[in-house]
Amino acid sequence: MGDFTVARNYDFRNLRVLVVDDSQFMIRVVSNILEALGVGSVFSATSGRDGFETACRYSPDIVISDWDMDGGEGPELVSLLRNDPSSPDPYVNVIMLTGYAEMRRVIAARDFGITEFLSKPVSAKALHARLVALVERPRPFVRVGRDYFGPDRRRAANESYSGAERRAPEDFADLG
Amino acid sequence: MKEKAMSADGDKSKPSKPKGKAEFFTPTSLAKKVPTIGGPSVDEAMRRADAAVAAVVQEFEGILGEELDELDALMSSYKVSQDEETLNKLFRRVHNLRGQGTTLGFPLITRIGTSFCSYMIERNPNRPIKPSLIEQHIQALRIVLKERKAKEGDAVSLSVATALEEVVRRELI
Repeated sequence: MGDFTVARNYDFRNLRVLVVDDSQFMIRVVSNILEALGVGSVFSATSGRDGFETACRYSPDIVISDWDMDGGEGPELVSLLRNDPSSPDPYVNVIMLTGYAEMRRVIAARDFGITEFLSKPVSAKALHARLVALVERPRPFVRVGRDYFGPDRRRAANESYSGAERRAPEDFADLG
Repeated sequence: MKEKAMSADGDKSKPSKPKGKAEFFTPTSLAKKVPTIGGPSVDEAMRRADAAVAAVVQEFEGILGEELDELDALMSSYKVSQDEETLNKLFRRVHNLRGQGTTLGFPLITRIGTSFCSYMIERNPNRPIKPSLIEQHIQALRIVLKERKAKEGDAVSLSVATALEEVVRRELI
């Protein structure tokens, strides 16, 4: 992460953020942090399905979703947001929030089309860092046939590279 | 292998139909909605956010007690039924506590929850699940809360957590 995080006073008041978690208490924690960071509109939902309906209603700029929930899981929500014809925005930024920090989970989440990954326990510093990353380092999107639509899984495309399409897991290591 | 970006910056139209090749798109940048001046300084934002979390922490102790009551009830039910559905409910509740613990000032809840989740996710499928080990994790969570309420430090919780981790480590082999 560059040092822009300390040099700029980001004004998040125009942002609309949807928090999806099956724990009402976790929703409160994340929502309180977002509001304290100055995010203007925070919405919430308690399942993937509910999250998709809420996203359709409010068109958030960012969706922060738990991975594993009752009544519909995070990956299902991401798939709906990216690929469903009724999605309000297939390009919406998705931060996957999860207690699973194992690399295989990180890679799986990335392959579902998430934009950023945030492992629990969540902290204000880490959440702020993710918001800043979304602002400062927007990800181009890529569609690869019918297999994948979502953020380019490489952090920086090397135009001169002509080898196989590979993705570096360390790109999604802890960013905060 | 790659094609140049197909849409101009700011084009948020629906992506085109798949053609079998990699197609690149440039979504509208969030930077257009987030001025880099006018907001709070990072220090001020962190101070506010930490205060917001602290306000929630005050409530967590009470909620933790209620969660542990629910876990006790599920554990009693599981000891009789030993069914997958009850086990999944136990897992989800402990998993949620694991995610909240450290954020809300209970790192040992996260540690014991991590031990529990490791056992549930990574255990050797050839070995039968041990209800007694599950129950010991639930009891350990209760000890953490008891010590916190009694302001007795966390010596017992710490040694129980360490012992559970060792048992789970052996179970994963």
